[in-house]
Amino acid sequence: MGMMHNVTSRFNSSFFFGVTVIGILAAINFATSFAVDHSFSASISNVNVTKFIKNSRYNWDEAELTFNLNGNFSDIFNWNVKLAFFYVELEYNALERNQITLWDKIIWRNQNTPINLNMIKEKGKYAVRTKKHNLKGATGTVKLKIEVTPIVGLIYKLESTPAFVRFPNDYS
Amino acid sequence: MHVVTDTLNEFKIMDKRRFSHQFVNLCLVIATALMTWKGFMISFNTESPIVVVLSGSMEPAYYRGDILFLEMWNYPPLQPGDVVVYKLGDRDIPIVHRIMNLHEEDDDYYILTKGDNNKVNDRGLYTPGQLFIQKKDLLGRTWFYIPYVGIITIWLADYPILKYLLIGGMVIIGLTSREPQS
Repeated sequence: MGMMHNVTSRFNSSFFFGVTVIGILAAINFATSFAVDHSFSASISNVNVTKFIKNSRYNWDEAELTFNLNGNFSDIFNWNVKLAFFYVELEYNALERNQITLWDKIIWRNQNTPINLNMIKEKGKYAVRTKKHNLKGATGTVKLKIEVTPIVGLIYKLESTPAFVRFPNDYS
Repeated sequence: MHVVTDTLNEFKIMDKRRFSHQFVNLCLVIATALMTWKGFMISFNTESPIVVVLSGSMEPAYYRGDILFLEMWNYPPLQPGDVVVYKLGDRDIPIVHRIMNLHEEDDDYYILTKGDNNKVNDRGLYTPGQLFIQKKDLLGRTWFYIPYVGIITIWLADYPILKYLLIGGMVIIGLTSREPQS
């Protein structure tokens, strides 16, 4: 073989050439999808507090919320989207920031149908449980947020405009 | 059997000068890899800038063997929906789960996590009596995703023989390969 390349170095070069090609294709896939429009329409309405109690064992407040969620999300499911994690989040400030997930759902790209929810409490979805007694009389916002998991690339978030909610001054 | 004879041949015809040249090249490759890793640690403010998913508790978003890049800059601030990696007390294996609730208090975060594929939140995983994890438990937040590739490291951990074969193979290739030259 003399000064020729030997078999291991041939294997080595072909392997790294293959990896480079896959890497470049993945980068193109990511770069082209990132520039496209990610807009969507969603609305949250009729936010109501249906239950509001004090949990003395854990020293926190508990509540349940109902709301309506409507939206159309076709545009966010481009070719580099694997799935999206949809979740509705309550945020209220009682001196400091508190954020609580009320509901979530994973939607795959090929399932991308309009979402229409008239939601009370889906089975297994979440009641509000705070860290301490700070929910009385608090005002908060309820938003739909979406975390997009790509096929390869950056993980990013989108969010809707907020709806508002006010908690009662007394436990129910 | 050309692989073996060619490789042996490369060693046979190798003089001192060429061997030391190849050896320095190999060291350079290792140093570059190490430097990249340390550079990532500084750039992303975390001791583990890249992790491989080891369990199925975040399926279908992340499967065993997927690679996640982490950062710990807290900008934008941590919030529910973020997938974080945390470590509990003296347990070795880091957990990749999503933030469900977050309460800010005295410059610290009180975080409740849940795996997408789990029915209930993580309080059962925390140390008994622990209701939240805090900043000190976090290794980072995921910001970049590459599927599948990390399965290699899982194989390497499961079958140590593969690890020695791979390292040995890389050393041999590093020592015997030639730059394309005239």
